[in-house]
Amino acid sequence: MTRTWRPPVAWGLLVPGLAVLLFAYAAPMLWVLRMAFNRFIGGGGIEITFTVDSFADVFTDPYYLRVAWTTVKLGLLVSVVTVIVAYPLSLFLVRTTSRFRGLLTILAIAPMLVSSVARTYGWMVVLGNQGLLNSVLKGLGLTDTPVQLANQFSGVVIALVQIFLPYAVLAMTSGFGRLDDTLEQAAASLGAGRITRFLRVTLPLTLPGVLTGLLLVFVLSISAYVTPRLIGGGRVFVLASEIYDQATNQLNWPLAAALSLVLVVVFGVAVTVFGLLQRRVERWVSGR
Amino acid sequence: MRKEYPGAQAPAVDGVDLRVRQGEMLALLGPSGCGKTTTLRMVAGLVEPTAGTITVAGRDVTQVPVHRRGMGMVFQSFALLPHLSVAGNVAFGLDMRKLPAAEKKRRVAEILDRVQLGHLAQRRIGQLSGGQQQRVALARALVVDPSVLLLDEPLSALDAKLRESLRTEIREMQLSSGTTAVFVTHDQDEALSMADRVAVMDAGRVAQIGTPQEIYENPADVFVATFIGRANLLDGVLGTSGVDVPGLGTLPVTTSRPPGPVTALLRPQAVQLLDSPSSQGFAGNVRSASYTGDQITYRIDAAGHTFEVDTVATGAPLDRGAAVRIAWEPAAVKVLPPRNAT
Amino acid sequence: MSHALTRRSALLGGLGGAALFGLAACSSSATGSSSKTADSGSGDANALTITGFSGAFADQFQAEVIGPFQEANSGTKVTYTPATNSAELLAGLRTNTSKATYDLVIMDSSVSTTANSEGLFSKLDSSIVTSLGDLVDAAVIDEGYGPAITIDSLALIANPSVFDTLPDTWSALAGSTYKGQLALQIADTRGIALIAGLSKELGLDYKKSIDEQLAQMKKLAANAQTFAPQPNLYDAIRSGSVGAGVGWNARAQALHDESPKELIVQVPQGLGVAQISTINLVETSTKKDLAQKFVEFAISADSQQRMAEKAFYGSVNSTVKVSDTIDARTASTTGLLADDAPIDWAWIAPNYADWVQRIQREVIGG
Repeated sequence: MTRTWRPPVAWGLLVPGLAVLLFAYAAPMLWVLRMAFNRFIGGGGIEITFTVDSFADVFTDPYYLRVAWTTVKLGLLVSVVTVIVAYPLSLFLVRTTSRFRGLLTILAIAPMLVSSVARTYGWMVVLGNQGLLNSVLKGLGLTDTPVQLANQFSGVVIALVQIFLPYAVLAMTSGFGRLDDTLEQAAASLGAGRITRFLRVTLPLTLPGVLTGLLLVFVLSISAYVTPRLIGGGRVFVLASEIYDQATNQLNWPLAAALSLVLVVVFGVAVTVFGLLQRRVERWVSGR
Repeated sequence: MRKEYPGAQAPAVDGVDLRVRQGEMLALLGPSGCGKTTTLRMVAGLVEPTAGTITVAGRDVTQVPVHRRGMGMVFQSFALLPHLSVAGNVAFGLDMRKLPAAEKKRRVAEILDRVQLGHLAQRRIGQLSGGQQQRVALARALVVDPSVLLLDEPLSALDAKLRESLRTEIREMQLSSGTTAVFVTHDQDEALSMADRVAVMDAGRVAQIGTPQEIYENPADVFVATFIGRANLLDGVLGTSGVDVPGLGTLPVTTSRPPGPVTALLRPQAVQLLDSPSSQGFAGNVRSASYTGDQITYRIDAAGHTFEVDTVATGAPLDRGAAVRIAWEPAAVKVLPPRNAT
Repeated sequence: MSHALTRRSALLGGLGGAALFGLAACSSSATGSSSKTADSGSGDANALTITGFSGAFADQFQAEVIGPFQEANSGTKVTYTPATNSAELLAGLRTNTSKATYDLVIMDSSVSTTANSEGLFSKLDSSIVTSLGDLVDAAVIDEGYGPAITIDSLALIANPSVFDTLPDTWSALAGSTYKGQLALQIADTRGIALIAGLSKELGLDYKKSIDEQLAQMKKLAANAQTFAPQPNLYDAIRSGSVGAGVGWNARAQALHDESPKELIVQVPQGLGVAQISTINLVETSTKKDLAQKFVEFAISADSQQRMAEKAFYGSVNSTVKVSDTIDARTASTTGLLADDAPIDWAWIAPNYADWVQRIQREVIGG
């Protein structure tokens, strides 16, 4: 981590990027921040003023606290399940010596080529009461009444896990760089069986990748809008859909802005916590 | 023992049959790709042999998985677990053997003292120098009292100076613990200086096995002769009175080989440089000289051959073109199979 | 090491940035979409720009009103831009007060009364819009301002292969036969209309309280399979993924004619809830004469008759004569809504957001 001197021209190269960031990111965010302190007048009117009414609404109304909790719960559940599902796949892709490795990796991330809207509709077809899954269960005589999966929380989790799986695989395969066959061979030569090798060597060394995967999927999940909206049956209220409702249906822009800032804070907390955790873990597995 | 990799044209290891004696250190020496590492990994259990068996103290361990073979291995890259401390790495094998904590602690401390790392027990691996890492790897492999210690190019990741001092250290550790050891190297000096016996490997086969002295003085063929040390090779035909070499006449030799085409070996140290006014030996001229302080190596053209000759340095080297005579004891000439036959 | 660190922090930074950027983009979309057609047709004196509902209504309105208008007035060009919903239109009007994006706006009467009160729309000139005098009572929302252009009613809809008949009351949907079979898209105007319908059925006054109506609605909600049918209510029912639901009469009647075996519709006798859309003149329009000429055309007896016969909208014009069969299937004051007391959308307007919120929290989320 040596500091290198950069010639001024390098800073010049940053100007277009900074300009885009300022224009497309900083300016709208400041606008959102300002909007959150305006007052909402029924029927869509907005009074330009300075009040914390919207924040008071958000923090005193149990409904919004519940929405925020649902959002975080969804993020945690989806990220943990996705990473558990993606882990063996990523490990296989990193370790395989097959000449089809490139192809397999492309196959693993190929679902990203299909938009998440299309994949969500796909899951509705699979999980619906007349859907593939229930038809199979019925055909096998395992159930008479359809298992309710679509139009509720569990359906959202299932669909999001599948939708974010490629992201997790990408993040984890690139984060598994410390994995080295000879380390496991060394452990084996010292008497460690398959499970011990996994627990004491593979798992610790892949932890940085796991954390990256968790963070990525968590952030994607708590900002997911389309999938909770489409497959949630109108029952699953998350911050993203609540922001949309407040902004476009209720026209309560100050409240939508306040909720947006809450989401930003959730993002910030997640990124900070994971960042600290990751730094510790990275130090730990790097042997420094 | 035999190992074929799918898709490879020739087997990586082809008919290797080695016997390692209790407590000895055997070196597997050969150029890269000769199959020495594959052989070692088959012994360790990291590579499954296509055919053949591996026996330790009379027990067939061919089907025993690596973690139950009870061998110790030192890897070329050391393969230290970066998330564990020095002590943690050394204790790893003892953990696997479920030793009581006190016993474990004692043995770890003991072995770390022996490799002079007692004071670094709590260090992280990334904070150690290459030589220290090497010693941790050695301590980790030895602390479990392995039936066999396997070392895969243990010194090749280190710089030249460190390599030499660690050679002695490894050898002393092995001798004092009495552990049977097999180590793989491509460095002939390393093999000759450390091992009780050396197996020279070439193209998946053992070309020759013997003590360093046997290998050096009586190489089995031209490959061994040239891989270990330098050699003057003279092609000729073995007759009843000696080897008939074009330009040199018949050189008297002692050999049990049947008559026919052979290659005669003459080590550079065995050739003597005579004072000019002499009738012995063969006349020649200095082609080039290389001075290394204690020794001068000449290349001398004589009787249609170019000889490499080592002399003890006494004063300035002879000029290029200087007239000299060279000679050798008849016993110094070794008869090898003809070189195109190997 | 340094590479790993840099890559990781770049990833985190990128993530955070992307997330925030997405948010900002999301929250500014309400203004973004209203300006995308900002200069359409404004240069041409004979060009008129109208915005309103998307989907089936847009197609029918193009075919039955805009097309004939252009034929009758050669040289005029009318552009129709579908919008997401009325609330979004209102937001667009508010942010674009200096320059007119649209000349005419078709929206829910509950929203247009708000816009009228904020001065976003102009009163109409009865010398141009002569049919104002022929309007049925229900079609006059704010005297002098944009009148109703269509009248519809909340209706019960079902897939006949799941339920071959439909009940006579809204509350009947709480019955156990409907368990897990209902699509109740009620976190919007449908829910507001259902509050009104339940008020009638239970003899309650929504101007006093909606507590009991919401309690009753919650019993219906217990049978809901979904509160957000996909891809939309009508297709969800036609495909059989839900058995029944609450929707709009006009659309359902048209779909019934298209495929009678997949969808049936019924407005409970005497419990219909009029849903009225108005056509409004934008205050800042520079083509008010032409725009009012279009309004006159749209509410004329001829246009209204076509909308009734082809799209099953109740007529706003009292001089329209349609067949009894058609009349019985449309939300006209002589047809489906004959016995019904009108709903006071102008009174509901300021409570709209609050009611939707209460439905969302007490009925759906509760």
